[in-house]
Amino acid sequence: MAIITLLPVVLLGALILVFGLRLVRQALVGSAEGATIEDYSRAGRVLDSVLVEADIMKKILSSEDAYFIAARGTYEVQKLFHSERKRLALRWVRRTQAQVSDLLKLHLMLASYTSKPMRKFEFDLSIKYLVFKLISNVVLVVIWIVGPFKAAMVVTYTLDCTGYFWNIFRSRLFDVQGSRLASGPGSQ
Amino acid sequence: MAANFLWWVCILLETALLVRGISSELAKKYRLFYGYIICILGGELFCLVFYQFARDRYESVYWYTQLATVIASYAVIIEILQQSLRSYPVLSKPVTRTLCIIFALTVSYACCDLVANGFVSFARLAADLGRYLRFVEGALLLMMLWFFVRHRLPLGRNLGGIAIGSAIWIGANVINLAFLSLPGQEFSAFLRELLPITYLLALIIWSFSLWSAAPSCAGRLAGEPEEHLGLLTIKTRSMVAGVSRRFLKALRQ
Repeated sequence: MAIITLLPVVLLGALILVFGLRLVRQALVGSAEGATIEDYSRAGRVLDSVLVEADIMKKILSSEDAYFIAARGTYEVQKLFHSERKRLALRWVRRTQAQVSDLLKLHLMLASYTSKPMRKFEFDLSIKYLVFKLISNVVLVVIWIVGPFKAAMVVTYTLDCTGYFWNIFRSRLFDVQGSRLASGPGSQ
Repeated sequence: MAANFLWWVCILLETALLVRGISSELAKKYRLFYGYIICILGGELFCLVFYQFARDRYESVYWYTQLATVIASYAVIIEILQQSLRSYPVLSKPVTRTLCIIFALTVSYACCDLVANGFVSFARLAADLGRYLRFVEGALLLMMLWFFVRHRLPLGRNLGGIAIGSAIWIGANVINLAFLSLPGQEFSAFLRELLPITYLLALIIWSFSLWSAAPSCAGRLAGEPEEHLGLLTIKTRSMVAGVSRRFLKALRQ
Protein backbone atom coordinates (compact mmCIF):
# COMPACT_ATOMS: atom_id res chain seq x y z
CA MET A 1 0.00 0.00 0.00
CA ALA A 2 1.53 3.33 -1.01
CA ILE A 3 2.20 5.99 1.60
CA ILE A 4 -0.46 8.20 0.02
CA THR A 5 -3.16 5.60 0.69
CA LEU A 6 -1.66 4.75 4.09
CA LEU A 7 -2.43 8.13 5.62
CA PRO A 8 -6.23 8.13 5.16
CA VAL A 9 -6.46 4.62 6.59
CA VAL A 10 -4.35 5.54 9.63
CA LEU A 11 -6.47 8.66 10.05
CA LEU A 12 -9.61 6.52 9.91
CA GLY A 13 -8.28 4.21 12.63
CA ALA A 14 -7.17 7.14 14.77
CA LEU A 15 -10.56 8.86 14.45
CA ILE A 16 -12.34 5.65 15.46
CA LEU A 17 -10.20 5.50 18.60
CA VAL A 18 -10.78 9.20 19.32
CA PHE A 19 -14.54 8.90 19.01
CA GLY A 20 -14.46 5.71 21.06
CA LEU A 21 -12.73 7.62 23.85
CA ARG A 22 -15.23 10.45 23.53
CA LEU A 23 -17.97 7.88 23.95
CA VAL A 24 -16.23 6.72 27.14
CA ARG A 25 -16.13 10.29 28.39
CA GLN A 26 -19.76 10.78 27.48
CA ALA A 27 -20.69 7.62 29.34
CA LEU A 28 -18.78 8.67 32.45
CA VAL A 29 -19.83 12.30 32.49
CA GLY A 30 -23.08 11.90 30.58
CA SER A 31 -25.61 12.24 33.40
CA ALA A 32 -23.94 15.40 34.66
CA GLU A 33 -24.15 16.97 31.22
CA GLY A 34 -27.71 16.07 30.46
CA ALA A 35 -29.96 18.92 29.31
CA THR A 36 -31.69 20.69 32.19
CA ILE A 37 -34.69 22.94 32.43
CA GLU A 38 -32.26 25.84 32.64
CA ASP A 39 -30.72 24.83 29.28
CA TYR A 40 -34.16 24.68 27.75
CA SER A 41 -35.11 28.14 29.09
CA ARG A 42 -31.76 29.53 28.00
CA ALA A 43 -32.30 28.20 24.48
CA GLY A 44 -35.62 30.07 24.33
CA ARG A 45 -34.00 33.30 25.59
CA VAL A 46 -31.09 33.06 23.14
CA LEU A 47 -33.48 32.54 20.24
CA ASP A 48 -35.42 35.61 21.36
CA SER A 49 -32.29 37.77 21.59
CA VAL A 50 -31.02 36.60 18.16
CA LEU A 51 -34.21 37.83 16.54
CA VAL A 52 -34.28 41.12 18.41
CA GLU A 53 -30.67 41.83 17.49
CA ALA A 54 -31.26 40.87 13.85
CA ASP A 55 -34.12 43.34 13.75
CA ILE A 56 -32.01 46.13 15.22
CA MET A 57 -28.94 45.37 13.11
CA LYS A 58 -30.96 45.50 9.93
CA LYS A 59 -31.91 49.08 10.80
CA ILE A 60 -28.42 50.05 11.98
CA LEU A 61 -26.77 48.74 8.80
CA SER A 62 -29.24 50.21 6.35
CA SER A 63 -27.78 52.69 3.89
CA GLU A 64 -30.25 55.44 4.71
CA ASP A 65 -28.22 56.66 7.68
CA ALA A 66 -25.05 56.54 5.57
CA TYR A 67 -26.64 58.72 2.87
CA PHE A 68 -27.87 61.18 5.52
CA ILE A 69 -24.40 61.52 7.09
CA ALA A 70 -22.75 61.76 3.66
CA ALA A 71 -25.07 64.62 2.70
CA ARG A 72 -24.77 66.62 5.89
CA GLY A 73 -21.74 65.54 7.91
CA THR A 74 -18.12 66.69 7.79
CA TYR A 75 -15.37 64.30 6.76
CA GLU A 76 -14.46 63.53 10.41
CA VAL A 77 -18.08 62.81 11.30
CA GLN A 78 -18.45 60.50 8.28
CA LYS A 79 -15.24 58.70 9.21
CA LEU A 80 -16.35 58.28 12.82
CA PHE A 81 -19.80 57.11 11.72
CA HIS A 82 -18.38 54.48 9.34
CA SER A 83 -15.88 53.30 11.94
CA GLU A 84 -18.57 52.89 14.62
CA ARG A 85 -20.97 51.09 12.33
CA LYS A 86 -18.19 48.81 11.09
CA ARG A 87 -17.31 47.95 14.68
CA LEU A 88 -20.97 47.21 15.45
CA ALA A 89 -21.36 45.03 12.37
CA LEU A 90 -18.23 43.01 13.17
CA ARG A 91 -19.33 42.53 16.76
CA TRP A 92 -22.80 41.45 15.65
CA VAL A 93 -21.50 38.85 13.18
CA ARG A 94 -19.13 37.41 15.80
CA ARG A 95 -21.92 37.34 18.40
CA THR A 96 -24.28 35.65 15.93
CA GLN A 97 -21.62 33.02 15.22
CA ALA A 98 -21.29 32.35 18.95
CA GLN A 99 -25.05 32.21 19.46
CA VAL A 100 -25.59 29.82 16.57
CA SER A 101 -22.82 27.57 17.93
CA ASP A 102 -24.39 27.64 21.36
CA LEU A 103 -27.84 26.86 19.95
CA LEU A 104 -26.49 24.02 17.81
CA LYS A 105 -24.90 22.45 20.84
CA LEU A 106 -28.19 22.70 22.75
CA HIS A 107 -30.12 21.51 19.70
CA LEU A 108 -28.07 18.33 19.57
CA MET A 109 -28.25 17.87 23.33
CA LEU A 110 -32.03 18.18 23.28
CA ALA A 111 -32.33 15.67 20.40
CA SER A 112 -32.76 12.77 22.81
CA TYR A 113 -35.40 14.60 24.82
CA THR A 114 -37.97 14.82 22.05
CA SER A 115 -40.81 12.42 21.53
CA LYS A 116 -40.79 12.69 17.76
CA PRO A 117 -38.58 10.27 15.87
CA MET A 118 -35.75 11.84 13.92
CA ARG A 119 -36.97 12.08 10.37
CA LYS A 120 -33.53 12.17 8.82
CA PHE A 121 -29.96 12.33 9.84
CA GLU A 122 -28.95 15.83 10.76
CA PHE A 123 -26.00 15.63 8.40
CA ASP A 124 -27.52 18.42 6.31
CA LEU A 125 -27.70 20.66 9.38
CA SER A 126 -24.06 20.00 10.18
CA ILE A 127 -23.03 20.77 6.62
CA LYS A 128 -25.07 23.97 6.59
CA TYR A 129 -23.53 24.96 9.91
CA LEU A 130 -20.02 24.42 8.58
CA VAL A 131 -20.86 26.46 5.48
CA PHE A 132 -22.29 29.18 7.72
CA LYS A 133 -19.10 29.23 9.82
CA LEU A 134 -16.96 29.47 6.71
CA ILE A 135 -18.99 32.17 4.99
CA SER A 136 -19.57 34.20 8.15
CA ASN A 137 -15.79 34.38 8.56
CA VAL A 138 -15.60 35.61 4.97
CA VAL A 139 -18.33 38.13 5.85
CA LEU A 140 -16.15 39.39 8.71
CA VAL A 141 -13.24 39.94 6.32
CA VAL A 142 -15.45 41.67 3.74
CA ILE A 143 -16.98 43.99 6.33
CA TRP A 144 -13.51 44.80 7.67
CA ILE A 145 -12.24 45.67 4.21
CA VAL A 146 -15.16 47.50 2.56
CA GLY A 147 -17.38 48.38 5.53
CA PRO A 148 -20.92 47.26 6.33
CA PHE A 149 -22.81 49.54 3.91
CA LYS A 150 -21.02 48.29 0.80
CA ALA A 151 -21.29 44.75 2.13
CA ALA A 152 -25.09 44.80 2.40
CA MET A 153 -25.43 41.54 0.50
CA VAL A 154 -23.25 39.62 2.94
CA VAL A 155 -25.17 41.07 5.86
CA THR A 156 -28.38 39.85 4.22
CA TYR A 157 -26.75 36.41 3.86
CA THR A 158 -25.99 36.35 7.59
CA LEU A 159 -29.56 37.34 8.37
CA ASP A 160 -30.94 34.63 6.07
CA CYS A 161 -28.71 31.98 7.63
CA THR A 162 -29.72 33.12 11.09
CA GLY A 163 -33.34 32.74 10.01
CA TYR A 164 -32.71 29.24 8.72
CA PHE A 165 -31.05 28.07 11.94
CA TRP A 166 -33.67 29.88 13.95
CA ASN A 167 -36.40 27.80 12.31
CA ILE A 168 -34.52 24.56 12.96
CA PHE A 169 -33.91 25.35 16.61
CA ARG A 170 -37.47 26.57 17.08
CA SER A 171 -38.78 23.21 15.83
CA ARG A 172 -36.50 21.39 18.26
CA LEU A 173 -37.73 23.44 21.21
CA PHE A 174 -41.30 22.69 20.26
CA ASP A 175 -40.59 18.97 20.21
CA VAL A 176 -38.84 18.82 23.58
CA GLN A 177 -40.74 17.00 26.30
CA GLY A 178 -40.24 18.91 29.51
CA SER A 179 -40.68 15.78 31.63
CA ARG A 180 -37.43 14.37 30.31
CA LEU A 181 -35.29 17.32 31.38
CA ALA A 182 -33.25 17.13 34.54
CA SER A 183 -33.76 19.71 37.27
CA GLY A 184 -30.91 22.21 37.11
CA PRO A 185 -29.82 24.74 39.69
CA GLY A 186 -32.02 27.41 38.12
CA SER A 187 -35.02 25.25 37.51
CA GLN A 188 -37.24 27.06 39.99
CA MET B 1 5.30 -17.77 26.09
CA ALA B 2 3.67 -14.41 26.85
CA ALA B 3 1.73 -14.58 23.56
CA ASN B 4 0.38 -18.04 24.45
CA PHE B 5 -0.59 -16.87 27.92
CA LEU B 6 -2.40 -13.86 26.46
CA TRP B 7 -4.17 -16.09 23.97
CA TRP B 8 -5.43 -18.43 26.68
CA VAL B 9 -6.56 -15.50 28.84
CA CYS B 10 -8.61 -14.20 25.89
CA ILE B 11 -10.21 -17.61 25.37
CA LEU B 12 -11.09 -17.76 29.06
CA LEU B 13 -12.61 -14.29 28.98
CA GLU B 14 -14.63 -15.11 25.85
CA THR B 15 -15.95 -18.24 27.54
CA ALA B 16 -16.79 -16.34 30.72
CA LEU B 17 -18.53 -13.66 28.65
CA LEU B 18 -20.64 -16.27 26.87
CA VAL B 19 -21.54 -18.15 30.03
CA ARG B 20 -22.44 -14.94 31.81
CA GLY B 21 -24.45 -13.73 28.83
CA ILE B 22 -26.50 -16.92 28.79
CA SER B 23 -27.08 -16.87 32.55
CA SER B 24 -28.07 -13.18 32.65
CA GLU B 25 -30.15 -13.54 29.47
CA LEU B 26 -28.21 -10.77 27.80
CA ALA B 27 -27.42 -13.28 25.04
CA LYS B 28 -31.10 -13.15 24.06
CA LYS B 29 -31.09 -9.37 23.90
CA TYR B 30 -27.77 -9.02 22.05
CA ARG B 31 -27.89 -12.12 19.84
CA LEU B 32 -25.71 -10.77 17.08
CA PHE B 33 -22.96 -9.68 19.46
CA TYR B 34 -22.85 -13.02 21.26
CA GLY B 35 -22.94 -14.75 17.88
CA TYR B 36 -19.80 -12.76 17.06
CA ILE B 37 -18.13 -13.93 20.27
CA ILE B 38 -19.05 -17.53 19.46
CA CYS B 39 -17.60 -17.05 15.99
CA ILE B 40 -14.32 -15.73 17.44
CA LEU B 41 -14.11 -18.49 20.03
CA GLY B 42 -14.95 -21.17 17.49
CA GLY B 43 -12.36 -19.80 15.07
CA GLU B 44 -9.65 -19.77 17.73
CA LEU B 45 -10.34 -23.35 18.77
CA PHE B 46 -10.51 -24.42 15.12
CA CYS B 47 -7.13 -22.77 14.49
CA LEU B 48 -5.72 -24.42 17.60
CA VAL B 49 -6.67 -27.85 16.32
CA PHE B 50 -5.05 -27.22 12.93
CA TYR B 51 -1.96 -25.72 14.59
CA GLN B 52 -1.51 -28.84 16.69
CA PHE B 53 -2.35 -31.52 14.11
CA ALA B 54 -2.05 -30.03 10.60
CA ARG B 55 0.40 -27.14 10.79
CA ASP B 56 0.96 -27.01 7.03
CA ARG B 57 -2.62 -25.95 6.50
CA TYR B 58 -2.75 -23.62 9.49
CA GLU B 59 -1.97 -20.45 7.50
CA SER B 60 -4.86 -20.81 5.05
CA VAL B 61 -7.28 -21.79 7.84
CA TYR B 62 -6.20 -18.76 9.82
CA TRP B 63 -7.16 -16.34 7.01
CA TYR B 64 -10.52 -18.06 6.47
CA THR B 65 -11.36 -17.70 10.17
CA GLN B 66 -10.21 -14.07 10.09
CA LEU B 67 -12.56 -13.40 7.16
CA ALA B 68 -15.43 -15.09 8.98
CA THR B 69 -14.70 -12.96 12.06
CA VAL B 70 -14.69 -9.72 10.06
CA ILE B 71 -18.01 -10.65 8.45
CA ALA B 72 -19.42 -11.49 11.90
CA SER B 73 -18.25 -8.13 13.24
CA TYR B 74 -20.56 -6.40 10.74
CA ALA B 75 -23.38 -8.03 12.65
CA VAL B 76 -22.14 -6.26 15.81
CA ILE B 77 -22.43 -2.90 14.05
CA ILE B 78 -25.96 -3.76 12.95
CA GLU B 79 -26.75 -4.82 16.51
CA ILE B 80 -25.48 -1.56 18.00
CA LEU B 81 -27.41 0.50 15.47
CA GLN B 82 -30.63 -1.45 15.87
CA GLN B 83 -30.53 -1.29 19.65
CA SER B 84 -29.56 2.39 19.82
CA LEU B 85 -32.18 3.42 17.26
CA ARG B 86 -34.90 1.30 18.83
CA SER B 87 -36.70 4.49 19.89
CA TYR B 88 -36.47 5.77 16.32
CA PRO B 89 -38.12 3.04 14.20
CA VAL B 90 -38.31 5.43 11.24
CA LEU B 91 -34.51 5.37 11.10
CA SER B 92 -33.71 1.86 12.27
CA LYS B 93 -34.93 -0.13 9.26
CA PRO B 94 -33.52 2.06 6.49
CA VAL B 95 -30.16 2.25 8.30
CA THR B 96 -29.96 -1.56 8.67
CA ARG B 97 -30.93 -1.98 5.05
CA THR B 98 -28.28 0.53 3.98
CA LEU B 99 -25.62 -1.33 5.98
CA CYS B 100 -26.51 -4.61 4.32
CA ILE B 101 -26.33 -2.98 0.88
CA ILE B 102 -22.94 -1.41 1.67
CA PHE B 103 -21.66 -4.80 2.84
CA ALA B 104 -22.87 -6.54 -0.33
CA LEU B 105 -21.36 -3.81 -2.53
CA THR B 106 -18.03 -4.05 -0.69
CA VAL B 107 -17.84 -7.80 -1.15
CA SER B 108 -18.72 -7.47 -4.86
CA TYR B 109 -16.19 -4.71 -5.45
CA ALA B 110 -13.45 -6.51 -3.54
CA CYS B 111 -14.00 -9.77 -5.40
CA CYS B 112 -14.00 -8.04 -8.80
CA ASP B 113 -10.86 -6.11 -7.91
CA LEU B 114 -9.03 -9.17 -6.68
CA VAL B 115 -10.01 -11.29 -9.67
CA ALA B 116 -8.94 -8.50 -12.02
CA ASN B 117 -5.51 -8.33 -10.34
CA GLY B 118 -5.02 -12.06 -10.78
CA PHE B 119 -6.05 -14.94 -8.59
CA VAL B 120 -3.23 -16.26 -6.38
CA SER B 121 -4.88 -18.49 -3.82
CA PHE B 122 -8.04 -18.75 -1.78
CA ALA B 123 -6.15 -17.89 1.39
CA ARG B 124 -4.76 -14.73 -0.22
CA LEU B 125 -8.25 -13.91 -1.48
CA ALA B 126 -9.65 -14.33 2.03
CA ALA B 127 -6.90 -12.14 3.52
CA ASP B 128 -7.40 -9.33 1.00
CA LEU B 129 -11.18 -9.48 1.22
CA GLY B 130 -10.95 -9.35 5.00
CA ARG B 131 -8.80 -6.24 4.71
CA TYR B 132 -11.26 -4.46 2.40
CA LEU B 133 -14.18 -5.36 4.62
CA ARG B 134 -12.33 -4.13 7.71
CA PHE B 135 -11.67 -0.73 6.12
CA VAL B 136 -15.31 -0.28 5.12
CA GLU B 137 -16.40 -1.48 8.53
CA GLY B 138 -14.11 1.11 10.10
CA ALA B 139 -15.71 3.87 8.03
CA LEU B 140 -19.22 2.73 8.99
CA LEU B 141 -18.24 2.51 12.64
CA LEU B 142 -16.77 6.00 12.53
CA MET B 143 -20.01 7.43 11.11
CA MET B 144 -21.98 5.63 13.77
CA LEU B 145 -19.74 6.85 16.60
CA TRP B 146 -19.86 10.40 15.22
CA PHE B 147 -23.66 10.17 15.26
CA PHE B 148 -23.74 8.93 18.86
CA VAL B 149 -21.28 11.53 20.11
CA ARG B 150 -22.86 14.38 18.16
CA HIS B 151 -26.37 13.69 19.34
CA ARG B 152 -25.33 12.44 22.77
CA LEU B 153 -27.48 9.37 22.34
CA PRO B 154 -27.73 7.54 25.65
CA LEU B 155 -26.56 3.96 25.06
CA GLY B 156 -26.56 2.53 28.57
CA ARG B 157 -23.86 0.40 30.15
CA ASN B 158 -24.45 -2.75 28.09
CA LEU B 159 -24.73 -1.25 24.64
CA GLY B 160 -22.19 1.48 25.42
CA GLY B 161 -19.67 -1.16 26.46
CA ILE B 162 -20.21 -3.09 23.22
CA ALA B 163 -19.75 0.10 21.18
CA ILE B 164 -16.64 1.24 23.05
CA GLY B 165 -14.99 -2.19 22.96
CA SER B 166 -15.75 -2.50 19.24
CA ALA B 167 -14.35 0.98 18.58
CA ILE B 168 -11.07 0.19 20.32
CA TRP B 169 -10.67 -3.22 18.64
CA ILE B 170 -11.67 -2.17 15.12
CA GLY B 171 -9.73 1.12 15.32
CA ALA B 172 -6.55 -0.72 16.31
CA ASN B 173 -7.17 -3.29 13.59
CA VAL B 174 -7.56 -0.67 10.89
CA ILE B 175 -4.31 1.05 11.89
CA ASN B 176 -2.52 -2.29 12.04
CA LEU B 177 -3.76 -3.30 8.58
CA ALA B 178 -2.52 -0.01 7.16
CA PHE B 179 1.04 -0.69 8.38
CA LEU B 180 0.94 -4.42 7.68
CA SER B 181 1.80 -3.81 4.05
CA LEU B 182 5.06 -2.05 5.02
CA PRO B 183 7.42 -4.94 5.81
CA GLY B 184 10.48 -4.34 7.93
CA GLN B 185 8.91 -1.33 9.66
CA GLU B 186 9.63 -1.37 13.37
CA PHE B 187 6.37 0.42 14.02
CA SER B 188 4.47 -2.21 12.04
CA ALA B 189 6.05 -4.96 14.15
CA PHE B 190 5.25 -3.01 17.33
CA LEU B 191 1.58 -2.67 16.26
CA ARG B 192 1.35 -6.38 15.57
CA GLU B 193 2.59 -7.02 19.11
CA LEU B 194 0.10 -4.51 20.49
CA LEU B 195 -2.92 -5.97 18.72
CA PRO B 196 -3.54 -8.93 21.07
CA ILE B 197 -3.32 -6.56 24.05
CA THR B 198 -5.88 -4.28 22.39
CA TYR B 199 -8.17 -7.26 21.90
CA LEU B 200 -7.73 -8.21 25.55
CA LEU B 201 -8.68 -4.65 26.52
CA ALA B 202 -11.80 -4.84 24.36
CA LEU B 203 -12.71 -8.17 25.98
CA ILE B 204 -12.26 -6.69 29.44
CA ILE B 205 -14.54 -3.77 28.51
CA TRP B 206 -17.16 -6.15 27.12
CA SER B 207 -16.94 -8.41 30.18
CA PHE B 208 -17.27 -5.50 32.56
CA SER B 209 -20.16 -3.84 30.76
CA LEU B 210 -22.04 -7.08 30.01
CA TRP B 211 -21.54 -8.76 33.39
CA SER B 212 -25.13 -7.97 34.28
CA ALA B 213 -28.12 -6.51 32.53
CA ALA B 214 -28.28 -2.74 32.99
CA PRO B 215 -31.48 -0.75 32.57
CA SER B 216 -31.81 0.94 29.22
CA CYS B 217 -31.65 4.69 29.13
CA ALA B 218 -35.37 5.01 28.45
CA GLY B 219 -35.52 4.97 32.25
CA ARG B 220 -34.97 8.72 32.30
CA LEU B 221 -38.50 9.30 31.04
CA ALA B 222 -40.86 10.42 33.78
CA GLY B 223 -44.28 8.82 34.01
CA GLU B 224 -46.21 12.08 33.93
CA PRO B 225 -44.88 15.56 33.25
CA GLU B 226 -44.56 17.69 36.35
CA GLU B 227 -46.81 20.70 36.41
CA HIS B 228 -44.15 23.41 36.41
CA LEU B 229 -42.26 21.72 33.56
CA GLY B 230 -45.43 21.59 31.50
CA LEU B 231 -46.07 25.29 32.17
CA LEU B 232 -42.50 26.11 31.21
CA THR B 233 -42.92 24.25 27.93
CA ILE B 234 -46.14 26.12 27.14
CA LYS B 235 -44.60 29.47 28.06
CA THR B 236 -41.50 28.87 25.89
CA ARG B 237 -43.59 27.75 22.95
CA SER B 238 -45.85 30.80 23.10
CA MET B 239 -42.82 33.09 23.43
CA VAL B 240 -41.12 31.48 20.44
CA ALA B 241 -44.34 31.63 18.38
CA GLY B 242 -44.80 35.32 19.22
CA VAL B 243 -41.23 36.22 18.35
CA SER B 244 -41.37 34.36 15.01
CA ARG B 245 -44.03 36.75 13.76
CA ARG B 246 -41.73 39.72 14.50
CA PHE B 247 -38.79 38.06 12.75
CA LEU B 248 -40.74 37.26 9.62
CA LYS B 249 -41.99 40.86 9.59
CA ALA B 250 -38.42 42.17 9.92
CA LEU B 251 -37.19 39.95 7.07
CA ARG B 252 -39.90 41.13 4.74
CA GLN B 253 -39.10 44.82 5.33
